[in-house]
Amino acid sequence: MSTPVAVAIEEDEQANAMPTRHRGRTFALRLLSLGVVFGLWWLLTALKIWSPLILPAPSAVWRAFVQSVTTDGPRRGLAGYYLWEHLWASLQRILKGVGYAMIVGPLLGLALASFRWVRIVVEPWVGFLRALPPLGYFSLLIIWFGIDDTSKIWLLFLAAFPPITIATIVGVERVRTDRLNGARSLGASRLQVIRHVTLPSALPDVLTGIRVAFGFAWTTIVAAETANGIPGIGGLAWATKKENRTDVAILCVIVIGITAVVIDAVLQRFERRVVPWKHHA
Amino acid sequence: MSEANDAAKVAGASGSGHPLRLRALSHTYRTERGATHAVGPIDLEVAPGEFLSLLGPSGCGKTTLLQILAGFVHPSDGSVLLGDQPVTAPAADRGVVFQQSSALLPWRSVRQNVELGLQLAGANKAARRTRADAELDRVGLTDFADRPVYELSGGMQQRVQIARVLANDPELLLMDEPFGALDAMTREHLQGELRHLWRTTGRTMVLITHSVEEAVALGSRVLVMSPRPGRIVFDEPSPFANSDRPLSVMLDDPDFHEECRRVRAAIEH
Ligand SMILES: Nc1ncnc2c1ncn2[C@@H]1O[C@H](COP(=O)(O)OP(=O)(O)O)[C@@H](O)[C@H]1O
Ligand SMILES: [Mg+2]
Repeated sequence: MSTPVAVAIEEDEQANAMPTRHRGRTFALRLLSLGVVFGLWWLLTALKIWSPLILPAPSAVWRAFVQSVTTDGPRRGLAGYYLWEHLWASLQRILKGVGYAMIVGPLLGLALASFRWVRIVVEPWVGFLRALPPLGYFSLLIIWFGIDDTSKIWLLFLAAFPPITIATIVGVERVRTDRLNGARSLGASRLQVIRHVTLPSALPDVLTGIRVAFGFAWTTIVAAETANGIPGIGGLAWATKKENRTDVAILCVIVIGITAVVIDAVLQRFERRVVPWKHHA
Repeated sequence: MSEANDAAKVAGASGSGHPLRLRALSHTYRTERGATHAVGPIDLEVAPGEFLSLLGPSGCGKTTLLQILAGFVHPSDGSVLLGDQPVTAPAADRGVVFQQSSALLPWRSVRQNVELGLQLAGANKAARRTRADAELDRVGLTDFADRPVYELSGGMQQRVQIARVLANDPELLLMDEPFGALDAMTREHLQGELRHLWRTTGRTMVLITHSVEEAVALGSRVLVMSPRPGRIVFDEPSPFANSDRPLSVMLDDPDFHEECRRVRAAIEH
């Protein structure tokens, strides 16, 4: 088990095994490490070791943040859009791309897990696609679908569905034989077994796959917005290089990072709500 | 052994289903690593309403035999008939209670688990609920009907398994070490309940167990299988299935001890 999906599934199981007492301590330690890094950042800039162009002070990044959410004469936010507009543009692309993947991924995974011949024919291609860095085929998508959002959404879709498909296969394959047999001996037909046993049993793994897909898609979209990515948080980050706006670059890094963490946290919450029985399966 | 014959008669009389017939039944698993002759040949006739206890050394093919009866495994030789119907696939007339409660559906409540068979058969909501509640009452889980199954103790989960099978009104109840994962107290409690269920429902039951005492106390007929490939090497009625004494009291009965000793000797032979 070394695929990202399997790793995510495993990590998840380990996290659950951690006693609550340790969780509180872990949280405190994380908070401390955040404080230390911030303090170091502030200290380094206060000592003026490097020019602010290389490492801007926290206050400069704060000013960039204020600019990003305000209008001042001809300036509207940053690069013509407010920060939340950049962020929302990126999130919309993600939601569309991963959204399609959330439909195709589980269906394909179910087909792959259920029919041997489908698996023999299709699985290598899914594996191949998953192994490719999405930006490797991005120019192809731009040539086919243009420079606008369509090519980006295709990119995200192609990046997002393989982990979901593979997680679905894992989920379907580890449904307990007793559970399937139990339903069959209660009179379930093949279709009823899939509907009442296989799909719900695989749901926790599918959701884990979706979480992996969101994470992967987020790193991909930020990179993909280097091409015609304004508005877009990745596009904004990329545009700073022309004007040496390290303050905006750092602002973007922070926003991109926090967003990634928030997306994952929201999805974990969603998981706990939808499959509270996950660790009792 | 007149008491034993009476017991078998009483048990047989209360049954309303079909006889179960195993003819030259034998199974060999074939995998890439080679062939394993797991069980058989076995010839066996089970009257409706009998309670069969099945013992045998580990790996002798007990589970294989049960899975064949359930229709999960197709025997490589011979046949199984329930009445005049050959058993070829799982069906609602043969309920199975598994050792592990992971056979239950954790996203469903206790009641919804018990309703599963009826739901699959297309029964309406009201009928499902009435029946499920009756079965839950029978196994003493009325107060837990709306709880998620994973919140229940191991013993209660096994009761849910029994209830969901009973709700389907199967002719045959197949149990593969259903109490094997439980602590001694819970186990003893459920043994008493199972005996009561057998008497009140008159169903044909097959119980695989590792415990000689459990087999002799509950079964109206005790079977012992040889080491792999499992064949029947001991097949006798047991008089204790119709006793009203609790299992703990039975342990003090010299007759009971003697019977257990004979059965144990058959296993170790
Ligand atoms: N699915 C299987 N494939 C191959 N061999 C199996 C399989 N299931 C069981 N066996 C083998 O068949 C023999 C009987 O197994 P089983 O019926 O589980 O015995 P018991 O339940 O009496 O312990 C064992 O040697 C076991 O390893
Ligand atoms: Mg077994």
